[in-house]
Amino acid sequence: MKRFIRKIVLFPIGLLLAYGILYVSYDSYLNHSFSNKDSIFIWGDSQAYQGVDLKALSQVTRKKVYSSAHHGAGVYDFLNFVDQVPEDSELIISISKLSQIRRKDKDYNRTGLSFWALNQLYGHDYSFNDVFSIFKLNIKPKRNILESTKLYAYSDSMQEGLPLSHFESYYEEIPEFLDEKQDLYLIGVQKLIDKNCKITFLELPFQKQLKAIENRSPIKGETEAFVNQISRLFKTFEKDTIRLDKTKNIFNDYSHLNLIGAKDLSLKLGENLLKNKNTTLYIAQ
Amino acid sequence: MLFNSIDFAIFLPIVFILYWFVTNKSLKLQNLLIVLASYVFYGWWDWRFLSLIVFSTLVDYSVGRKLKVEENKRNRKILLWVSILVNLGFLGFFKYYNFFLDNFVTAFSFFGTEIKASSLNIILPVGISFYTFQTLSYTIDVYKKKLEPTKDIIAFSAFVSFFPQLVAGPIERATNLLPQFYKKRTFDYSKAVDGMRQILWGLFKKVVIADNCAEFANQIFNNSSEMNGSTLVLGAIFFTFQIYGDFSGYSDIAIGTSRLFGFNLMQNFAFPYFSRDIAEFWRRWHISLSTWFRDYLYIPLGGSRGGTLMKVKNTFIIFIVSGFWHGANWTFIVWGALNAIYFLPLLLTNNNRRNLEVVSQGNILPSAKEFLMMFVTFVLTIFAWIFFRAENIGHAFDYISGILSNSLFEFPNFSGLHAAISTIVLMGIFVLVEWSGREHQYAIENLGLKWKRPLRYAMYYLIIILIFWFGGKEQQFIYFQF
Repeated sequence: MKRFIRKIVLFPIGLLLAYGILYVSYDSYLNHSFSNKDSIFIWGDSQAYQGVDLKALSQVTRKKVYSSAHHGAGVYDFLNFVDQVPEDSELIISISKLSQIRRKDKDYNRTGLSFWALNQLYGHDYSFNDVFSIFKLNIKPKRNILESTKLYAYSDSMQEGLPLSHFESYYEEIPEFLDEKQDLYLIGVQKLIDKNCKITFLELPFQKQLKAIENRSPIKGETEAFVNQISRLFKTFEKDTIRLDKTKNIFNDYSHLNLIGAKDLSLKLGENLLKNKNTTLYIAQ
Repeated sequence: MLFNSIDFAIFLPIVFILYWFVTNKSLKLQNLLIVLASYVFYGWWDWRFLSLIVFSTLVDYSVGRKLKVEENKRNRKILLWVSILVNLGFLGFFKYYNFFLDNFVTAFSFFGTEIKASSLNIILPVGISFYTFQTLSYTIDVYKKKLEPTKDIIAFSAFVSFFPQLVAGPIERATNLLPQFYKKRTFDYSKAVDGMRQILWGLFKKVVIADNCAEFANQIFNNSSEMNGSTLVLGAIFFTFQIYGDFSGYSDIAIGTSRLFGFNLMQNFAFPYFSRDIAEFWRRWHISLSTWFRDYLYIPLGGSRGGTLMKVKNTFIIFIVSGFWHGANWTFIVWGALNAIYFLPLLLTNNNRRNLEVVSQGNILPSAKEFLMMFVTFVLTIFAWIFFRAENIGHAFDYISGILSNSLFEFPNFSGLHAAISTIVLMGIFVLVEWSGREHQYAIENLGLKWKRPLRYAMYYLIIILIFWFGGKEQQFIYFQF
């Protein structure tokens, strides 16, 4: 019996070691073979994934552009990105309004394993079970940093996508977790500042019907206040507007740009990045 | 409590420690611990249904005690029927009530008589088909005087509710399992290690093979009208692997867990997909149920001793009842009947016991003839599984006609195809490991035993990492619904 117990106790230690070595090696191969010299890393959810044309942005800035934006990316994915990104990196961060008000179980939560990020969640309204289920989703390393994205094709009219009722239910009332989620985002932004990263914030546009829902909602005040909270973390913080060319349809659906919109935004954003060296929030309209 | 859950990962070590370190001085205490642990294990789903197990235990225990002293044949028969009616009564009510009601209403309306009857919202207690059959085997064996009825109600309760096999088998015979509760169990290192290895392999089958295949099988079966023929074939293959990985994986975990506590359960699956004919398949698939039906239904009906008509009748009865045991749906009945049709030619030509030994014993590869026989049997099995998986008979026929269309020769096409490739690779590796271990109780029983320790541990670690990295979305064990 003693022999059995000894082996049962020692077995997981060996397993953890073997697993750790394998995880770190594979994760390094997938996500850490990118140099941050002359590079820009983007973080965001589907709005940023569909809203930024990596090629166009790279063309203007003459830098390599990587995207870590994923559909449904949420606060855990942001904190994981923050933990993962090298010091002194240049970043474009898009903490969308939808990623703030999305229920935590609907977040993507699959961008890799960060014990720092898990620990932050546990201290902020996430139960042990919540944290453990996120841990389980990330026990296999995944490619988190993409060199190319697949944008929505152009169409003369907007696609239906998620119905307006979906957004109406989101914007009905202020979710009770909003403060905690925003606090977590602020922790992430602060860590990026500590890592001496150059950050540009980006707010992607909503189609006018969704915008109208947002304008009517009490949540609008909360998300605007959140921008102010972010601004207070920086010595200088500017806001600027990027006006998109609307002669053609630029939306794929209520919350995502199509290829034309993404290209237009990326070219204009790139030009701004070349001119403006301060921390700025660009609001695309 | 699911075997592949965190709850069970906590529950098992606690029970193990209490069993071997706290209650090990007394056999009665160990048995009592098993009863309590089993009730907790079962009550984790729905504690209300514990009463069914307790009631069934008390009825069969009392019937057993009465049968011990009762010599009058008629009274003995009455006692037997009390047990059968109570057990099958529960099973019938919870599992088949709505099915019979709906079919009676449909049948009467067919003849122009409208009957107003509303079906009940009945929840099927998990594992009822398994423990019902297990307790019935006790009463029948006591009735036939093959088994001495027990005086020990704790041992009997432990036999009925033994948690590793309570909800999905193997359906143990009282003659095999009950006596093990009377004997003092001593910890056996090699038995425990073997149990752990079998648990590991069972988890691999369930989490990596079955759960991954389930995602694609569900996607294809649920949208079968939109799929081309080759995709439908792929869907049926995915389900074929899903059901095997799911159910035999559960059995492996159950048998392995039992070994940790010093018990030996019967082998439930013996590499059925390497069978050379359907008769061999049924000797290797869900062995505990097939032998149950053989001993308590087929042989009492006369088995294959009578004339041709009797053989045909008994074969159909046993296969259809076996199908119906799986669920209250015509699809299961057709699945059973189809297997009877497969089986009959072998029986009538006296070829049903042709392939008793393991295929290609001692060889690395099968002969061309063996390969062809296995292939044909496998295809027949896949075809039958379509009925088993389909929502209803119409769905099954639509699925089959979809396969038999011109699109059979197109390339498979469904949204998860790219993701399915890694699952297909894993299925290939799985088949190779199963083939290499087909002469044993489970595929990795002997694998790596003679290797140096670091290499053997590397194999264990690799299996665990595959479980973590390639495990599919957690799915309920299919056989829980039965």
